[in-house]
Amino acid sequence: MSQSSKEKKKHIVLLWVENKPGVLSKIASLCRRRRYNIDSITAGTSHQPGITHITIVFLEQKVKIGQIVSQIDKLIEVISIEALAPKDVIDKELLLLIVRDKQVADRLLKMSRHDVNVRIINTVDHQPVLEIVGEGREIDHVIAELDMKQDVVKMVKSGLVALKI
Amino acid sequence: MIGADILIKSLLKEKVDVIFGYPGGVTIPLHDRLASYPQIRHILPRHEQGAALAADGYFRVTGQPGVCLTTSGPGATNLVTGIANAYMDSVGIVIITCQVATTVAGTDAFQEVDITGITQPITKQNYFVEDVKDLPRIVKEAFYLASTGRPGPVLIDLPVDVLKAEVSKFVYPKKVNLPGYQVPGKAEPRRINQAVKLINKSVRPVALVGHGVTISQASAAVKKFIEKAEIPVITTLLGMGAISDKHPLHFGMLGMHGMAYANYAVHNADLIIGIGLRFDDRITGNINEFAREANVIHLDIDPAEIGKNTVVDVPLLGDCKQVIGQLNSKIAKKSHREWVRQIHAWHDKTKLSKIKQEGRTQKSKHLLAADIVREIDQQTKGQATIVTDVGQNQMWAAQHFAYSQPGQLLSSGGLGAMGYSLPAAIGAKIAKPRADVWSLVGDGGIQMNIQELGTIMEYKLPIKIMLFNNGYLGMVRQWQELFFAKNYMATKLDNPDFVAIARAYKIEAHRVTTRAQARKMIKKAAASKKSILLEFMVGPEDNVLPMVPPGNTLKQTIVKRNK
Repeated sequence: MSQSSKEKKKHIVLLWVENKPGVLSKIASLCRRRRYNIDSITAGTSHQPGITHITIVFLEQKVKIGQIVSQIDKLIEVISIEALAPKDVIDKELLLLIVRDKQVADRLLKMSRHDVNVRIINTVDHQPVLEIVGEGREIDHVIAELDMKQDVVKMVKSGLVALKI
Repeated sequence: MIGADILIKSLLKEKVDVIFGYPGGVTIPLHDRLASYPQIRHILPRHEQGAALAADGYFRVTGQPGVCLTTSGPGATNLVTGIANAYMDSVGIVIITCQVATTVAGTDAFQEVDITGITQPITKQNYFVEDVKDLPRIVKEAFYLASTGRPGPVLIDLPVDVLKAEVSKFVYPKKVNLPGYQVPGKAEPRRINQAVKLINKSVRPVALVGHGVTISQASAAVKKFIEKAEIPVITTLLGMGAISDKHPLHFGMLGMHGMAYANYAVHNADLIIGIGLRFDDRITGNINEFAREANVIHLDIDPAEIGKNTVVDVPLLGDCKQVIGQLNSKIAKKSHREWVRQIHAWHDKTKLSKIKQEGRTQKSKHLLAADIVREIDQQTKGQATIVTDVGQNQMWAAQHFAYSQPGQLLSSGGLGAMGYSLPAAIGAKIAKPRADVWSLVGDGGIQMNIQELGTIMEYKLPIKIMLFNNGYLGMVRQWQELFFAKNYMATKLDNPDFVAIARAYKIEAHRVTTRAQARKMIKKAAASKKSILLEFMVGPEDNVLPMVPPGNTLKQTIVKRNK
């Protein structure tokens, strides 16, 4: 096996599942016992009643993704599952953060462009609260720009939600 | 009518004729109603694990889901080994665990345990019944899931208040609606064409036959397949019997204790056609060296098995019988005489009848397990249903009996659960009273479910129990000898008087120490219409050979012991 295929990268997997008790727990525990590394998982309502849409981002070797998809697909409640290339999805992630001061906020506001939207939504103890919405990769870039010790008081991330196009 | 009636009526719709059940606090309303339905026979094992494994045995000889029923808490947890066993070996069973009332569920009530949580990784699906109106649908789905596609265990957790709920009408659904569940049938034509190309051009092909062939009733199709293209066939432990051992193209079992010639054939093949198996580590040896020169065609009904353990050149997703049928109409009639002759040459050098003494340390006066198994084969004219335990007895039983029918060998393959033999034999005998059921078991394994002698006694089941007593947990001792410098830590057994125990259960029993006695007693057992236990005093340090030491490749199969 070549070095590149062993490298762990982010892979987006989209699922449509029956909205029944325990489905999310079944998927999560399957991934735990088969040692699949989940980077993020989000679940929510879809346009179809009774059907939940789930986005999972795996941090895994490319060769393992086929097996991961097959194993999850065996869960009876999983109606369909698909691993997708980034070009085939629209994805968004939300970052909420409290930053140290206005200078940091200004710096982040300057990063705003068509695929990342940065805005100040509040202040807490004179510290700006920011909402940053954008593609998963762009959010990763924003995070890479931040000095967590110097710039950030608190940060939370939503996990990726993606739509197949 | 109450929920319990709904359950029983649903079971009747599924043609259930036997329940292996053990009562407890929350099953009482159900057992109370069961008394009114004589169409269903209730068998009481002596431990809940016995119920699950009996249901397993029931499926393996009938192809219909076996049903077991227990109480909540400890009743449910005692099932776990049996459920895991069914899951690993693709055995369809339906498990009904009664549960504390919904009003107290989640409060650590008396005998409450989260059995749906516990069994989630070892069931194909499980259900907690919140409302009695869902019960018929759930039972319908449970049987459908347990018996279709890749079969497996399905558990229904049934709270006692749901069992007692008053119901006015019973309506059983005609169809299941499971949008996330499809059962593969035929393979894609493009894949069939790719497979046919590989088969037609192969020079040294081997067909590997697994449990899927038995489950899908594909034996006749596979036989046609191997005969048309003259392809040598080798089986896994659970594939034994799917193609008769007596077939001229059949070359035994492969793997850790497979035939050396079978392992050599697989190692040297240029094409492996895996049919209904999962390339488990016990058959592949070192996976990186497995069939290194071969293209691999893998036919299985479970997409997750294809490519899981080995690199596959042509995946064939589908039902064994249907897909082999597709191949049969397309493959060329062909001869592989040279290749078959080569395997015959390996066979002549390493055949079992020739090497059966090689596992001994020296000229021993003890009985040889191989001789006992061969004697059972002879005395039953190869027609016995053999139910093994796990360990050396299991491998000797697999090696030395010539299986000719699917479902003739019952064994705990994937899980390797000691204690399997007695309860699974009970399940098989109850399911098929006319089958001649022989339980082959070691002195360790029999003690893991020895209480089931009580079940055999109560229901007067004429099961022939062949106990191989070597005074050790033999397979572990063998590994300790070979890989841990004979450090026999915790494997020497201080055994009870098994003959006296059997007799206490009103089962005829004899201790056998000589070849002549063995012959006489096995003949007696074969003719007997009652249960009988024979305790064979076999060599304490006899080893199972051939053997592929763990981590080695199939070509490194050992056929001689270091004496």
